[in-house]
Amino acid sequence: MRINDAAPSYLTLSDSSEPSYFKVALHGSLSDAMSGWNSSTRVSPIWEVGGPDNIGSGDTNGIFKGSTFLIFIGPCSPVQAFGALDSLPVMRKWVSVGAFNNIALIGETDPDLVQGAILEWVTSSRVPAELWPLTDGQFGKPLYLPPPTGIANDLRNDLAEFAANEFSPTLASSVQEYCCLMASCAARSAQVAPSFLDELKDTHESVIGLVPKGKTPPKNERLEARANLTSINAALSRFSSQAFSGISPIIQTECHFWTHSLLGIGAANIALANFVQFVGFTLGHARLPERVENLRHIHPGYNFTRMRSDNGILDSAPGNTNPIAAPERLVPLITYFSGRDGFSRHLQTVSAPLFTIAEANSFRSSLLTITHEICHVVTDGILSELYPNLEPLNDGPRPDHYTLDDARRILKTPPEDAYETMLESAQRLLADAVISMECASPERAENSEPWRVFEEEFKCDATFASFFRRWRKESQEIFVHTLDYLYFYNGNSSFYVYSIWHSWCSIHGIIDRVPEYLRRTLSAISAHSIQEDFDTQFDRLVLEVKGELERLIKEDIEGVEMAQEALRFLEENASKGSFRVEMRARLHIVRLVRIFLYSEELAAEINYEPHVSSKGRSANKSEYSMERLHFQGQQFANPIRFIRNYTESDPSEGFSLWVLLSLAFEYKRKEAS
Amino acid sequence: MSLWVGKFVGVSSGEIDWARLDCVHDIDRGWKLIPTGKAFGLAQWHQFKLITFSPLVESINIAASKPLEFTYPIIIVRGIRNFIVLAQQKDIAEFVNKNVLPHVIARNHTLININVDSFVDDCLEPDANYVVTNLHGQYAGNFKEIKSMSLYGTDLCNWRQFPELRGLFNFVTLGAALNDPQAPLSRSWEVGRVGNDGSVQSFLKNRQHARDFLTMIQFTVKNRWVPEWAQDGLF
Repeated sequence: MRINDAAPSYLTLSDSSEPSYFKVALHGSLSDAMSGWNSSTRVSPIWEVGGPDNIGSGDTNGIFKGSTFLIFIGPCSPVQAFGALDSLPVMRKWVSVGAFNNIALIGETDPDLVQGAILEWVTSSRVPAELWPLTDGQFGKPLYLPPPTGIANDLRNDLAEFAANEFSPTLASSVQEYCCLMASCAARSAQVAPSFLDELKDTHESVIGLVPKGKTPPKNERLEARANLTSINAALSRFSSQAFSGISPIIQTECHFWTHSLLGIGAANIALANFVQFVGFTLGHARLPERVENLRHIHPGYNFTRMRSDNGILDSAPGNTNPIAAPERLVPLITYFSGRDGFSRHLQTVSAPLFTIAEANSFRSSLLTITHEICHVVTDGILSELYPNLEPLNDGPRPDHYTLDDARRILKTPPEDAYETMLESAQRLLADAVISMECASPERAENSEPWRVFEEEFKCDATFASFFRRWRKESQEIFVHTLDYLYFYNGNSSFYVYSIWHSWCSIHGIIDRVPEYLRRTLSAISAHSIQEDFDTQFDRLVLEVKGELERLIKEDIEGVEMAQEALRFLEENASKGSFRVEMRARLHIVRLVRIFLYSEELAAEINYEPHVSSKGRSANKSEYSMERLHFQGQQFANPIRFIRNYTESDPSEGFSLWVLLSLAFEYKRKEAS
Repeated sequence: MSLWVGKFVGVSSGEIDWARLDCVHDIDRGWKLIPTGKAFGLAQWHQFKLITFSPLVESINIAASKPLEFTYPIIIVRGIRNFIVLAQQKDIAEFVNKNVLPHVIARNHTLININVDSFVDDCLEPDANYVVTNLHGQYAGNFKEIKSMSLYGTDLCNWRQFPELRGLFNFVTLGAALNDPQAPLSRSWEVGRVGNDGSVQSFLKNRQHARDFLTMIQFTVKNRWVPEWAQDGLF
């Protein structure tokens, strides 16, 4: 079964002129749909599917003439849904990005026959269906076939218990909003997509831990909790309104992403959640922040000379196999699409841009970009151990706090002396990177003796702290890019550089950040060859980056000016001593990642895919045997690898839909063992 | 020559017209499929002669004699909704799968991917039905110095180094023999090979070999190492 990836048709629903009746129409273009638009009109694009010799004509003329049934089934795989309709006279079939992602037009008039044909399947598969008995495109009362469902009793009871607590006035309204949102999500999940329920329960557990109870909790806790709840509520609100619009009864569940106002984008939300779940499961279960914290128990640490020069300790990930004492349960991230936030993350939320729904197959809007955001979540935890604490401590100093004095002591330790713990070794590498970046910065180049100036500033708390503040963001970004490159891009420099620059080029108004982005790119791809001599390695890396920028320029992609500016910058600066010194400083962070945070076993686990084709690359240039645009019921276990194989330069709505529906229904979720 | 290679395929929906297996198919597409009885005397094993008017595989003899017709033996093993297509070379099986089957019995058939990894997991158990005799895998880590690896032996899962290598490779094809401690010599005979792209292979010298091979394919279906839609398609 294949999608007809020419332009979609547009299914509209409006109130009929006849009271209590509704009018359904199928239009060949959005422009046609606009012509009859009234205040009750809702619309969704749908794509016709067909067999190998007939992928559907896309013809919309007179399609609902006479007596027919329009059946909506989902969320589930098209192979499953349309297989269930085998015994019925199916005239046309479509797929959509909504929760009811499978739509069929049945040339049968007997409602009992239609219901009977699919009731058993709906009940056994627990997938809802809705039937519209049409007469010349109009219907009065839809028929619902919800399967028997759980009602999420546990979560509902937990919410009631939570809501019964007293909260400070600062938090009360946020808590009320949260309880209503979560109750709605839970109830609708149970009905439509039970796979979300476990994650919602885990989210609720973490919210209970975040929100202080009682009328007068400590003041600093109230504001932090309110900020976190605000973010969580915003995410839940969008998640709920996107994933659970267009469910039964369709006539009552309008989606506010207006292009998809009829059927919503529930299948896309499932795809996004599946993708994030995989990343969280693999990288999350590696517990990198906890492993870094555990480094304080590994004695002795490496000395600085060894960390700089001994390539034998790369990928050693000390303590990697040590069990983590009582690890906290990983909290799932709430996922949603957002026009304003784009790709972003907050404490417990991750978003992707709305235009990903129409462009998921393209480099510029690929879901792969989310791995960068999730690496940020992991890096936040890592840096809390490796970066000195620069804020005043409300509850006083603690023995495990890493202070500026500790950073001074660590930096002053002779390079041949082993550190007491591996944590101090890692802290030294990062501190050294920060100081090196400061000394290499163009502003300092104007001083005649920059190192001497630094010595004086070293002793002053305010100045010393300012170095760490100044370079915090860039340090974090280099960490993130390096982890992303090694773990999610499989160390493939060509693909990595091409895809991130393709996506950066599509962002308006950031051309002045080219130097910063180039430093990040070069730092990340140096991870694979960090053991080589710097100058040889650096020249080769610059050539690699230039090659991919030239490719983008040749393809004349949108935003190509950014690639052109990057190429110009490299050509002017790559051989300059100052730029090379800046890059050398950053490679300390890359080396830190390679020594303490990278393991080949974890990389292999993240890249694991039991469904990759034994041919290596089949005729359609993918590692998988599944053909693009075809629904064949062939599963895969690695959504990152899947996206890498099916991403291309030009966006296509039909191909994007196929990618999203495959991620939603052909991906077999990894469960905790 | 008794090596047979082919594809494990099935239909997720729609009908299979099994009656057509007993007919001669002489469609004007450059090939003919003529039934020639049951392979190995087994009811489900339908044997055919595939006649084409251009060669499907290279052969020195072709240049010498330049025949007008090329004949290839084919076996189709019939299941409920699944079937196995076998030929004596990969390209011939591929041709049958792509060009012949849609016109003979099933227009919408699909390859049935077998989860080789799950099969390996099962063979790690001491009382497993099978032992692994061959594995081919692709390196899953980042080191570019290695791409793939093939292993051959009598019981690979019991090899001391196997656990270390296991996590670093995506295994894509597996060969297995019966795990029969009472007849250790039989371990040297590989029942067959399966791949996660639906490819299958076996040396079929006699009826017992054919039965054992089909049993192994059945084993993958019963254990649900195939997609959901193929899980009710036993033989």
